Amino acid sequence: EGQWSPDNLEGDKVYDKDFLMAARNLPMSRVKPNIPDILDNSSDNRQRQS
Amino acid sequence: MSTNSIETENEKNEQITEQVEVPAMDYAIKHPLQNAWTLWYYEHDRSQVWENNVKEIASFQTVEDFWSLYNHIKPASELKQGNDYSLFKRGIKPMWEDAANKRGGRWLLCLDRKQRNQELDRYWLDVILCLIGEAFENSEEICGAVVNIRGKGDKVGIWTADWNNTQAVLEIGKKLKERLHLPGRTQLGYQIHDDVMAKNSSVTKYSYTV
Repeated sequence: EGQWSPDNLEGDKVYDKDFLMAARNLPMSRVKPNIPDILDNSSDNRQRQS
Repeated sequence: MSTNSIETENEKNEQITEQVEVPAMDYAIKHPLQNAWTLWYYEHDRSQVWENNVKEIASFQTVEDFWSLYNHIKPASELKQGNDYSLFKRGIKPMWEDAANKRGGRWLLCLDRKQRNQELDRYWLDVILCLIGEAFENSEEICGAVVNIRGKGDKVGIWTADWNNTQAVLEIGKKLKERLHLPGRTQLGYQIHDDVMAKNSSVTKYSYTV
């Protein structure tokens, strides 16, 4: 029932663009996952390529 | 601040924690998505059969884990020509043959070459945000989305489960057009996968348009 929140764990997990964009640069949104080198967008990788 | 007041503060916090029964910390901070999603990468390599070139990159099920991935991978506009990104609900392969896609089709946005620099990445991100944020009333019909980087023009496709579910297909198409802020002259067309497969020419008819 209703929107998900920490107090309503059974709610729908629906997020609009503004909400999602606001989370983009949170510390927890900047943890580097395991990705192949060829798709790595990090700056040192770019320098190697150029 | 004296030691006393810090202790009082700590006690207060403990009380609050007990009162609202805050769930496990990870859960309280990260925002879970309705579905788990998997990002795939297709690397064009003529020496391999098509299936071998489709590679699973990562899966995520929270808003923050999505951004952690997106913030660290190359944008679509920097992929080599002939390559793709796909984002599908976990368990669905980005292929026509997958059981979830067999009866389906795609809403197709065709871009011209000069849009790669300015608009492709925005369109692709907006599509992703519609998917993971569950923007559609018929979101159970959504299978995933694909961006194709191609010399003759890039493409973004949003794959749905059943081309025959007209009402759902049209709702998704209209919502996409609105959320992507497509100019009125830009048409979205819906192609049935079976038609794309059967057709030898590069042009497949649109079964619906919005």
